[in-house]
Amino acid sequence: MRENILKINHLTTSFIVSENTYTAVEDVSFSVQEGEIVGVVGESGCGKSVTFLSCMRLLDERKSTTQGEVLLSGKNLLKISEREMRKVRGRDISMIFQEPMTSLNPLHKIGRQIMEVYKIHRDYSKDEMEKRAIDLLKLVGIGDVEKRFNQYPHELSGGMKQRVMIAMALACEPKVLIADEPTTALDVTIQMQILNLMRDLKNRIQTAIVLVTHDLGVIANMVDRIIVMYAGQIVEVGTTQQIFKDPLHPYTKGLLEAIPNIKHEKERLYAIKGMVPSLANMPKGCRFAKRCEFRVEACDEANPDILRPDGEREVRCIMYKNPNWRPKIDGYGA
Amino acid sequence: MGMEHSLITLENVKVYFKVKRSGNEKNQTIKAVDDVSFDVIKNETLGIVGESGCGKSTVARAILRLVDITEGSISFNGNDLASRSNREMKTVRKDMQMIFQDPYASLNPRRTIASIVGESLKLHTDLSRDEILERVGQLLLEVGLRPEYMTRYPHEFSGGQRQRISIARSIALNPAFIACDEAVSALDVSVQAQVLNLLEDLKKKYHLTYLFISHDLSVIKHISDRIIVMYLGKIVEIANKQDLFENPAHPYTQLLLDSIPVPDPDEKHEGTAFNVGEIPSALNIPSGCRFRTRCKHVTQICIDEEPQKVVISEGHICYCHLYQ
Repeated sequence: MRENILKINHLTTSFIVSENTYTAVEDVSFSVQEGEIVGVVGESGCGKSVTFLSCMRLLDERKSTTQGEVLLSGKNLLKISEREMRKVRGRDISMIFQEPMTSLNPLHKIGRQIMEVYKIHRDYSKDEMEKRAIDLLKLVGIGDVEKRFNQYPHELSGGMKQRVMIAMALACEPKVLIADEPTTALDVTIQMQILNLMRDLKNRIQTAIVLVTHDLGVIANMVDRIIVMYAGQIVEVGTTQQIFKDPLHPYTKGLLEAIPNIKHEKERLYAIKGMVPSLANMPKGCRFAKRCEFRVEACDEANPDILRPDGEREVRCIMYKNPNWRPKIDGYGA
Repeated sequence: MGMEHSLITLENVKVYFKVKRSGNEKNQTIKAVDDVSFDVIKNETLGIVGESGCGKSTVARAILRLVDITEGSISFNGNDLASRSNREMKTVRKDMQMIFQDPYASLNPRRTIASIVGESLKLHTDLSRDEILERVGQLLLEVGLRPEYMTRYPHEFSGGQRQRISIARSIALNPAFIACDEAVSALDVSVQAQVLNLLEDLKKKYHLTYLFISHDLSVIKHISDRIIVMYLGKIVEIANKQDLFENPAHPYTQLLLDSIPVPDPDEKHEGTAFNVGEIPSALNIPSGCRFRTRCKHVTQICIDEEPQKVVISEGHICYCHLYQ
C-alpha cells in the first residue's frame, strides 16, 4: 500500500453572503496516495473547485468558513498560521488554474516569475536560481528558452503560458499538484500536449496530481481513480475502470450517457432532466433525487450516507443495487 | 452536389481585417477567411470544426452579413447577398438566424423574455401585441420552458435556460437556416445533451438547415451530416461524417482526431508522441500549405506551393499535396 500523502476529512466550506450562509462543499472526505493521479469530476457548482481552494486556503477567510481537516503528510493545513501556510504553498502543494492568462503577472518577465518561487522557498544564489528556472522551462517543453526567459506573458500563447504555470508549480517538486481545469481554455491539439507533459512530469518527479475537470474524456485518459461530485458532495468514488464500465450512482450513469462519444456513436443523447438545485435551496433528502429515474420515497426523506459496496468503492445512493439500468432516452429533459 | 439542393453557396469568399499598428509600423491584414467555397445543402446539418483562429465563426458571420466580405460571393436560395443593401438584407435575415456561444452576453439584460423573443415578430410581422405574446408563449413551450416565464428577465435563468431562450428567439420567424456558433460550448454536459436534443427535434419539426460550428469534435460528430475542417482561414477537408471519421485524409484532420480524449479508459491513448507545436499567428501565415509547420509529412512542395483541391471520393475533398 502506498502512503496517503493528502488526506481530507469532513471538509465543509460555507460562504457568508449578507448574513446568509451557503454551504458549497459538505462533508467531503478522500485521500490521495503518493504518485497517484486522482480525477475530480462534476458540473458547474458541484464544489470541485471550492474544495481545493479550501485546501490551499485561497478563499477569503472573512467571507467563508472551512471546517474539517486537510492533512498534508499528516500536518493539518487548516490549523497552521497564514505565515506557515505561505511556506507550504508552492513548496509542498501547488495549484494551477484554468486561465493561464490571468494567473501570470502581466508586469513581470517569465523568468523573474519562475525565479520568485525559489526566492521564497529556497536559499539559492541569483545564478543558481536563473539556471534552475531555465532548466525548468526546458523541462516543460518551451523552445528558445533564453528568449522566452526575458519575455512578458502577453508575448506567449495560451498553451505556452500553461507550460510556464506548470513550471512554476513544479519548481520545488511539491508532493501534490492540484490542476483545476488546466486544459479547458486550450485547443485540443495543445491540450493533448499539455496532458502528455503532465503525465511525463508525474513519472519523473513522483508528484501526486489531482486533476479537477468537467471533461470525462480527459479524465478517462489521465487518471487512476475518480471522485464524482454533485451539489457540494461526493456521490461516487472508484477506479477509472469501475466508474466508466460499472458506474453505480444514477448521476454518474446519466453523465456518461449524456456525452457524445466519438468512438461509440449514439443516436440520441440521454438528457438528465432539470438542473442542479441551488445552494440556497438544497433538498433535505438526496440532492439528485429530483432528477433521478430511480427515485423512491425514501430518497426524499434523508440525504443518503456514503455506502461502501466492497470496502473500497463509495457511492451515495440507496438504490445503487438496481441492476441493468438503462436510461430512458426521450424528450430533452425540460 | 447539385445546385438545386443547395440553400447557401459560398464562392471564393475572403474576409480580411485590417489591424492598426502604432507608430511607424505598417498596418497589417489578418486573413480570417481566405478563399473559402462550399455549399450548405437544404435540410442538412453542416458542421465546421477547427481550433481558435481558423475562421469558423467568421464564416458564419459572413453568411449573415454580420461582417462584410472582402471578396467572393455568397448566395442564399440563389440570391446574391453581398451586393444587397442593409435594407434589402433585412428581408433575407428573416430566413437566417444565429445562436451564439455565450447565453449571458447574447440576451439584453434590461428586457423581458417576451420582448427578447417577440422582437423579431414585432419587426417583421403585422401581429398585434396580444398575438405576439401568444406566439412567444408557444415558442417557449416549444423549447421546453413555461410560458409564464415571459415576464421575467434573463438574469433569472440558468445558462441552459438562456440558451433555450436564444433558440426560441431564433425560430420565431420560421427561418430556413440557423447558424449555431459554439451554441453548446458554454454548457455543462447534462445541459448540453438537453440542448443538442432540442436542436435535433426542432430541425425535424421545422425542416431547418443548420450550420453548426464547434471546436468539439465529439459534438460535431454527433450532430452533423457533413463536416468541414478549417485551419488558419482555409478549408482543409470536407466530407460526410462517416468518411471524415473513418478515413480522414488531411494530416490536420488526423491530428485533430488523434487529439480528442475519448471518454473510455479502454480507448486510452497517449496521443501522438511527436511534438506538434502551436498554431502560427494569423499575422504571420506560413507560405505554401498553412499546416506545414506542424505536419509530419512536410516536403519542399508544401513550402513552395499552396495545395489545390483534390477529390478523394464523391463528396470528400481535401487540400493536401500528399494526394496530388
